[in-house]
Amino acid sequence: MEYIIEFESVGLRYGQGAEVLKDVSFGLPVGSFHYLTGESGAGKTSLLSLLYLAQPQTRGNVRLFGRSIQSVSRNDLPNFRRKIGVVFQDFRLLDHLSCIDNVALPLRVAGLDENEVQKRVKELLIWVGLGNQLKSKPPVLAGGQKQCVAIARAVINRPDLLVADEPTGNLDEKSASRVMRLFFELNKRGTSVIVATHNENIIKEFPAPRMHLANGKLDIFPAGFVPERGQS
Amino acid sequence: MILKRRPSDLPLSKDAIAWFLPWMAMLMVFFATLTMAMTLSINTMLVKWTQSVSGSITIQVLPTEGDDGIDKRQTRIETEEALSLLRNTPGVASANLLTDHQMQNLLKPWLGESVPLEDLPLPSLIDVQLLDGVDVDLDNLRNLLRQKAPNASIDVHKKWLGKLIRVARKLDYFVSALLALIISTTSIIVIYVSCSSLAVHKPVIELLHLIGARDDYIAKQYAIRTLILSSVGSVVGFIFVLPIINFFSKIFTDIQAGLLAEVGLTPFAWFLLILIPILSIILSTLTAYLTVQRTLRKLL
Repeated sequence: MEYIIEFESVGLRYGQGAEVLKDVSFGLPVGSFHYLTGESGAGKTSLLSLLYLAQPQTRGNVRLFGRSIQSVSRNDLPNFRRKIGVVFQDFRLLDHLSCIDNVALPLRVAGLDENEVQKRVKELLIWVGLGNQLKSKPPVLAGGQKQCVAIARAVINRPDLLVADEPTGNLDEKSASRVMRLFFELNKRGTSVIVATHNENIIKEFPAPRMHLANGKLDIFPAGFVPERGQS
Repeated sequence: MILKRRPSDLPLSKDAIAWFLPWMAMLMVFFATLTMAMTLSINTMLVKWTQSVSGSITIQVLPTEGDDGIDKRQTRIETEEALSLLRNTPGVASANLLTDHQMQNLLKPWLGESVPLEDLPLPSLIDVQLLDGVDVDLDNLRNLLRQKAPNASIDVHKKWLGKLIRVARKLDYFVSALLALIISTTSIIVIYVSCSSLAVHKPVIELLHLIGARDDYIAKQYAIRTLILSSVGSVVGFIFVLPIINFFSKIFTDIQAGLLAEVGLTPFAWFLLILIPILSIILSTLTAYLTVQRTLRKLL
């Protein structure tokens, strides 16, 4: 089986503190869809940060796209990162840029033709319901609208791997379902998706296997299985 | 088609410290251009002086004191003797007495337009042009002159010109050091501004990296910003310095009027001066680009 992500005894600690992730080992097949669950502070965001190459693990081995990230040179990092779409929990939108320019970032850093950039970005923003906010800047947007912009930015480049940290946290039920359908649509087209969420309704409505983090340890459960509180 | 510049991914226009750059560029270009203009003027003047006095000497016949004051007749006789001797001396191409009009021109800067030359105890001046490549025995000439015109003396320009050239060379070293100081100050300020901005925008830079931006992509945005700001400052600094150069040029011209050669900037000197703002812009832009590249290399 071909894996898009493989973790082997991965550990992560910040500074001299206790390990946030302990001996985490798993493999996710190419084209899979997984939820990442766990209580607040369980290490979900830390795990995701290893996936989108924001920091290196403290120990163990992480393989992405079949290659150990330790062997990836600094020059190759941008090419790796361009294959990964990230929806950050805090959106990380650039306040001085319009919705169009925020969503266009991944295409521009990849050097796409500006006409193509404009066309794709407008199409996607209209699709996520922000057709009338194209030139608006994040400070004037509502929380849900910001989240839509962040999601649009993550998927605009049709990434091989989509990592979303609480992508429906600020959305109403209807918008959340719409976003999840978008993720499943991308998944059908070959994008591997990992969605960190607390929203059990979404997990019920769109069933998929879940990775559950508790006490720094990770377990994978089949679709429909709900781990008990504190279970690892 | 209307070309619209898309906004920078980094909010650089909001950097308070970045607005320091045009002021810095303006001052640096102003002082560098002024310094360079002074040096080029002095060098141009020396070259012209050298050209005009090399191969020439001046004979001065002092007025002879008689019983009733100045003996003009005796002075005229001595001058004629000196002219005759000089015109028959091997190696001398020409020997001409300066006319009253030429004397008047020489004295104009100090004594004004209408000088009553006949009332002044002025020496007679003989401009002697020497043949190229022929060495005139000045000691022998001096001895012969002493016999025929005891009040005549030889002024060899090379002597005092040599001293001036030595002073000018020292001035060149001083100006080179000053320019080096201006260049290094410019670089240090650009490095400081770039590093400060990188620290302020660290979260945005991290985001761009995570999205897949290369260091080059970010460094180019800093370079473009620096290019715009330093261009504005450099052009303004250059425009401001032009009237100052013109002012000093007039002062020099007034001082040297009637002396050997005119002071002024040659077309080549102007070309060098125009290069200063251009080099300032290139230096600032390149420094910003390389500083950002080097700093980003230390990040993940």
